[in-house]
Amino acid sequence: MVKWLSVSLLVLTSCTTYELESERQIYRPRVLAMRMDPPEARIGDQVRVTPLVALPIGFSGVIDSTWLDCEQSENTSDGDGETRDWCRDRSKEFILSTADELVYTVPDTLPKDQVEQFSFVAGFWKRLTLEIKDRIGGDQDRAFKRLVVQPAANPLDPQADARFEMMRNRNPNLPPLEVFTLDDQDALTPVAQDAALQANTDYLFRLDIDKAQRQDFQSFRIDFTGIDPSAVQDLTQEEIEQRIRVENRRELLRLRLYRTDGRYGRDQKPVRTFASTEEDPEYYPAEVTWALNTEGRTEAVPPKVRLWFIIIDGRGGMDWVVVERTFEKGVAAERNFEAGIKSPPDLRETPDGEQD
Amino acid sequence: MAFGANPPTETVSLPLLFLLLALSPDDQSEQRASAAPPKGGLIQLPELINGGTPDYPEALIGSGKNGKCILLVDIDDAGLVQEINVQKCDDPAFAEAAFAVMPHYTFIPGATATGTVPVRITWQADFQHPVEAKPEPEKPKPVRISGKVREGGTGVVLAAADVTCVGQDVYARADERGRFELRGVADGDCVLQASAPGYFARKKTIKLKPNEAVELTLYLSPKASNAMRTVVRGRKEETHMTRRILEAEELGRVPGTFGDPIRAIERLPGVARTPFLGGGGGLVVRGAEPQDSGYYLDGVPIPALFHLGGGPSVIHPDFVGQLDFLPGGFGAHYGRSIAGIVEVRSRASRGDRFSGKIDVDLLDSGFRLEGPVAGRKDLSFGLSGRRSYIDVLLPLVTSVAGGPDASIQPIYWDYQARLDYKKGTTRAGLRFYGFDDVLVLAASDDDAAARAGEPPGLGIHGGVHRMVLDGRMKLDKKTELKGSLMLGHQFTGGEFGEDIYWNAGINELGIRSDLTYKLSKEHHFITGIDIGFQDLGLETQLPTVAGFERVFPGGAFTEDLGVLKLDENDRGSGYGVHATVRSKLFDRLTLLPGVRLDAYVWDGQDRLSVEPRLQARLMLAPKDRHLLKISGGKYSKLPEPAELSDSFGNPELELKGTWQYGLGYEYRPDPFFHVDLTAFYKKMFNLVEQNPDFVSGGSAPGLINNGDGRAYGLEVMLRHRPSPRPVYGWIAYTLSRSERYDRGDRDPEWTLFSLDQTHILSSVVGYKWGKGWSLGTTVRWVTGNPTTPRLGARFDIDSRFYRPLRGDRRTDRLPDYFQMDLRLEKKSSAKRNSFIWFVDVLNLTNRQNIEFYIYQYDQRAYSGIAGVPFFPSFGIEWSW
Repeated sequence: MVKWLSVSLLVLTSCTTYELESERQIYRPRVLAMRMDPPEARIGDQVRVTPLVALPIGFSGVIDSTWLDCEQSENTSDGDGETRDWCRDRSKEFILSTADELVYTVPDTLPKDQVEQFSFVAGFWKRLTLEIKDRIGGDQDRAFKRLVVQPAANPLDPQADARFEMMRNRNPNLPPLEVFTLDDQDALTPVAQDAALQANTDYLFRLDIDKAQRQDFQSFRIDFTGIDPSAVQDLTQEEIEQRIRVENRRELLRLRLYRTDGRYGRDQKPVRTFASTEEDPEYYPAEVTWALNTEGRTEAVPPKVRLWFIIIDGRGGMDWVVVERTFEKGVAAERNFEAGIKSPPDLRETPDGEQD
Repeated sequence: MAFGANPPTETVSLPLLFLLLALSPDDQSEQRASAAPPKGGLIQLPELINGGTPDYPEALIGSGKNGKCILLVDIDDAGLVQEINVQKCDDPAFAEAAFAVMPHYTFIPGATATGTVPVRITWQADFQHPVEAKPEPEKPKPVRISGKVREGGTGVVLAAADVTCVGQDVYARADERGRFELRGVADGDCVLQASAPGYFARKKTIKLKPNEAVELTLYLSPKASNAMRTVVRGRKEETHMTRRILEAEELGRVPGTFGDPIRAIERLPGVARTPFLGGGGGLVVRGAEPQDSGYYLDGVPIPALFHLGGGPSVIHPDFVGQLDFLPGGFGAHYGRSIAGIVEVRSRASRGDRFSGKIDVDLLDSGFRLEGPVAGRKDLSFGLSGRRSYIDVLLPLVTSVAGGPDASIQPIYWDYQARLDYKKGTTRAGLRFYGFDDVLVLAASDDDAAARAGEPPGLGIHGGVHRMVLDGRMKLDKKTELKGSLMLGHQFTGGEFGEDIYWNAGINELGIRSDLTYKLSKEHHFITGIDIGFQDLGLETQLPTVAGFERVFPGGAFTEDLGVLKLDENDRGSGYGVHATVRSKLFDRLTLLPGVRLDAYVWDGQDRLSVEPRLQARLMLAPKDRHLLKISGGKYSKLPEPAELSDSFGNPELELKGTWQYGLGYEYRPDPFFHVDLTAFYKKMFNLVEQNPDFVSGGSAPGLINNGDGRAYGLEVMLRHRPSPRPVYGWIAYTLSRSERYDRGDRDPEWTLFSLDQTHILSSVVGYKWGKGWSLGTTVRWVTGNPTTPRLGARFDIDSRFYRPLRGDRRTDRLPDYFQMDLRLEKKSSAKRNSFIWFVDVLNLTNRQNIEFYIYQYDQRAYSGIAGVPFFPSFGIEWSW
């Protein structure tokens, strides 16, 4: 049999055509982050919660904020009901505040036994929700963030208080953002703080984070090395206690870029699935590239662009930098608006292109 | 000859003559006074110079009598006969015959020294009865044109074909070997015409030179609706509630299957549609999981029907002779399945001649060879094989600038080798078959991937190798015995990067034997054994939680993973015994009570299942047209080896099972057309589910027998089998509902099965309008698969993704599926070569059938991923 297939079976995947919005581009009001000061608190402490609400260029609506909490779920095995559909039943929600920022006092109604139990292992997580709504356009968004809760201060155990103060998580504080153009030879040229960004030009944004912003902390784990998973269930309490390890860790800071327009390059080395035991930071300092190309673009060049740089520390701490710059077409040769964006030189081992 | 034809000199001896002369002169003188006696001695005896021989008397013909006459003949001196007297004659008729001719004799007269003299001589005439008169054979005319008549394309000899030299009234009929001879054809042009029932007549002009003989082979093309090929069957004495049989002629022509016969099953009632090209490792039959159905090749279970889960079938299409599909309610013969049965019945290799086929396409190449062994008609062989080469071609494409960063490279091959013995009712066969699948996800630049710290590639590997020895024979008029022995090895393996791999192999032995004993004309007893042994070896290195640590969402969780190396060996065996009595009562009612006992031993755990089954079939008047049928029974199955694994499953899992009930009606107005309606209900229990109480490192097993399910529905099939009529095909409709009892994290409730499809309508219609042309079309309209609605989402700032807010489970559906496929085919033949040109088009209307949704990050919008687009395939098949 001789068969001439006009189309290979392999092109079947070409029927995958969908046009969904990029998660990293801001089309409507969204909550991108919440900074809790402090991110780790004790029962009875007061915490200021500041949201990062992103608005698209030209947004003219009015944002109403509503801070929500949810009644304790029955399934609290992992702290405050880490279920798939947390507080799916909205009748169990109640309003904490309608202010732009929330000042939250950690209540003593939290299940103390669980707070105590989880105090050695990443703490008890109290989730707080912010719902924003455009009073005019009707768009709304909901986001929640965990506050790490530790047991209340114990005057009878000053050592515990001291240890808590030493180990508690803090938010990173970011330095000013540096902006460079990146040419074909990877040469960096600083861009003035008030200069307009131009089309068809690669920009590199850098946050030269002080290493001191990366906290060391201790982690408790039960070591199952060398044990068949089916035999774990047979371990006695004594054997489990013998396998408890206290490990010194260092925070891994991660950068994410959101924008109102343009495309961005790689902002993070991919995390290895296994054996990721390197102590050196996988990406440091935090850098990301961005460009807005115009060839083939149907929309007009925006008068301004807004960029949000968010750093998280993996334990609930975070900080951000927001940049709004005027934008102009400039004189650079046009490049295809869908072309991949060159990544920062330190991340070149991986393919270029937008990574959502 | 009547007369002895002896010359007188031989019959009249001289001593006797002299004696006569001495004794008779006086008498002669007395009688012939006028005759002068010779004076002196004779110096010359009379010598016959002219005279005919007397004929054998007609009156004595048939008497068988031989005899003689002794006559006294007086010859005058001129040599003329003057008088004849009978001295002695065996029969008066002999004398009459002699007298009829002898007076006309002329002699050289006798003479003495003085001259010629009258002489009396004694003459003896002998008479012999004539032998049975044999007609003189007509001299045969010379053979001018001879040869054989064969079917074009296949070379099959056509007995009783008529061959005529038009206009010369010369005709011959081919013998049983297809050979013919035309004699007496005149020199010059002969318009030779050959014809046979079911074939197009063919004319050929032959120029014959003087004294020339021509030998040739005439090939006749079969008509599309070939009456010679139609097999008319009455109702088979069926032992299963519903058996849907697809025959070879239908199988290769179903549009949308690319000539892959096994895929035709997906168009039958009771089979749900699986996404994209289907297959997916099995069939979804009456709302059950694919692995719950049983797949057999000639009675021996096979682990997969298709390469790579949903690719080409693992059996060469040319060796698929028939497909039996039993959607449920089957008899005790089949076990270890709780859904449907698919039995591929391979075609025995042909022993009448050597034939073959080579096929080449963009994806793979294959061959088929078959023929007699050592010229024996009772022993034949068959060989076939196939190998893909996408892995070779794809890098040529992906190396082009702009190609994808990674590609999927499927590699598959299969083989079948067989010996078939056939003598009388005895059949035996030895078969070797197997297949091998490799699926590699390869980066376009392995070095770059390695520098980036990405895995060098993902590969999975699996396959089967089998040897099967089977046979069937009649022990006596009442007893038939069938049996098979299978030895095999199946394996699966894979790797992900350098750290993760797994290799599992199963050595297997299967023994099956069935015996049918006719207790009487109405009562048959069918029993058999079904034994299987499996030896599983597993070697794996997998990621595992190397410790327990509670990590904040978004934290560096990866450091908690470790690698675990495991070796596991399990042994299992299954022992099945079944018995069924087929009783025909009142000439209309057939009862089939049966029972099956299956015992399983897996890794030291015993399980036993007793499965009663009952079927009843009632013929309604007029006989053989209307049939009512009911069935009920219990079915069970051992969970999959992976589910019973010590390391990954739960070795204490129980058998999962179903109770199945069916009620059906068949109407068969003629041998080729029938209507089949079947209602079914299936209750599923002990299904294997994830244990909601399972916690990594905890004491609860990961899997438990906590699943319940139910499926019910109605199947309708209108079918016209291939016949002398030009139309064939079927229309199948299934109305069904399949549910599972969801004991998830919400309130327990019945929810839809993930591939529940309320309406499944399939039509396969082919039309053969002659001269080798045929057109086929398949239409499928199916309710969309259930989905769970998304009510919105909340952004989890720590994890940095939106968590969807789901509605009630599987309460929404994808859009309905509709697809029309088309196949246009032209068959022609030249001598022993057969060619089929075809166009096979998938999704003729290019409908965008949504297979699943991709949701926007915030669940506000979604986009459907469509299935197969408009997909034409053009081709030609060549076989000889």
